[in-house]
Amino acid sequence: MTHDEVADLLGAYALDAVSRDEGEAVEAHLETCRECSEELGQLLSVHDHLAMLAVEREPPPELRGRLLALVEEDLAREAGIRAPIRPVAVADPTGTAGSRPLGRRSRRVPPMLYGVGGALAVAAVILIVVLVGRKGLTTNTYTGGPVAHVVHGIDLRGATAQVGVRSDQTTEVRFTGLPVLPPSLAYELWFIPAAGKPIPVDGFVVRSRQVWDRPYPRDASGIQTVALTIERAPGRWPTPGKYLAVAVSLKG
Amino acid sequence: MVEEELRDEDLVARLRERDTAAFAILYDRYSRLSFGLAYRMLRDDAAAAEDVVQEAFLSLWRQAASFRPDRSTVRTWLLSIVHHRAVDRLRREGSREMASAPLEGLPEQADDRVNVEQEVGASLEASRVRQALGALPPDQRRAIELAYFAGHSHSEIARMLGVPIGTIKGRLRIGLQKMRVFLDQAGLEGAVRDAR
Repeated sequence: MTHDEVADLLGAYALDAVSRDEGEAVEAHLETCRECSEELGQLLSVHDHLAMLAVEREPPPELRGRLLALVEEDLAREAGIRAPIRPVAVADPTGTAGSRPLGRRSRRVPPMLYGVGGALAVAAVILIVVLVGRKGLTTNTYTGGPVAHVVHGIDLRGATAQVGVRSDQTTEVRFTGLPVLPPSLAYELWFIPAAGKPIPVDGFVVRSRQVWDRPYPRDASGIQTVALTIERAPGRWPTPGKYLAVAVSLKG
Repeated sequence: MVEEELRDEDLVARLRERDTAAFAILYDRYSRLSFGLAYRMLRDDAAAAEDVVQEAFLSLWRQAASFRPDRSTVRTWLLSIVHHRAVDRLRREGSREMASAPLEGLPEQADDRVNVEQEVGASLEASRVRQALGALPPDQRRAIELAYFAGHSHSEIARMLGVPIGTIKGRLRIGLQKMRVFLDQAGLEGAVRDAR
């Protein structure tokens, strides 16, 4: 296969859309062609990003235990011994049972997201304006919106969000169209820095699809995202579920 | 060190030492994304998606020594395995149809409990990728969707769409190149993978 023929195939190869023979031919060419290797590296990075378009979904709960049993079997096989007959210690994903501390849900921001997060913008971010007030006060305004049409059963269509970062080191947060939540739930406002833990800022409920507009005496410098979650209402603990509802990037 | 503070790369290093606790932590971090990808590619076949995710995580466990942190992140490595396995399964079964989930706009439903930090980062990244794909001409976008999410080969796509194979090769390559530029400009360049 010629250089040009391989180059034509790079997009398909990056997407696993070539035959086995074609794949082997591409790989042989890559051994000696720096140009094609570099282009393919770029295309593969897009392939990696495409996975983010899939919606996260909870796998069947038994899969975790089965996988842990399989790796235990691997360990026993590698050690040249028969796997001991004993129950595999599988932690309960809910954290309510289990005999070893494996199962506590502990997902976190992958390190690369911290690195690139400063340049990310939420889908609905479409506007950044600088308003100059009468007293020389400047406000950088960022807009955002819901992360999904429905979050935890709450229909967020029509909700909007706006964050004003003022030069006097206060931050104005304005939501419109937030739906009324059932009594067991409340909204929680978060400031999320580029690095470090999210900062809980406020908790509130709305009584109608009204405007929620509040100034907060907080400097938003260093804050990457303002987020609104739907959570258990105060007094409804201890089930601290958090459901991300609305996000506004301050790095748009 | 608590498990939240352990970096993925450190956990993979522990996999090489056959640490099953590290494996469990990685599973808790990425099983939902992996299952979501497999579920979508396999047209909502939960049992098939479960098989694919199981195979992918076993590969992670058994091939941890081959992971090169200078070439990719653990997440992209794992998701690549999921994608390869799902494509293999689709081709083996020979029963592919276009994944029907909409790509444009917001997901219809996002009602699972989340870690705020992770969900914000992931949703922002997803929105940028969705924008990049949505900015492509329809022909290029369609070709990429058929290849990536439905697991079709370029020749199958050409046959389905009634266009020459060379046209599909071009759409896939140029479409990905454009997406790359878009994502670069959005600050989402990610890790450029070593193709060798």
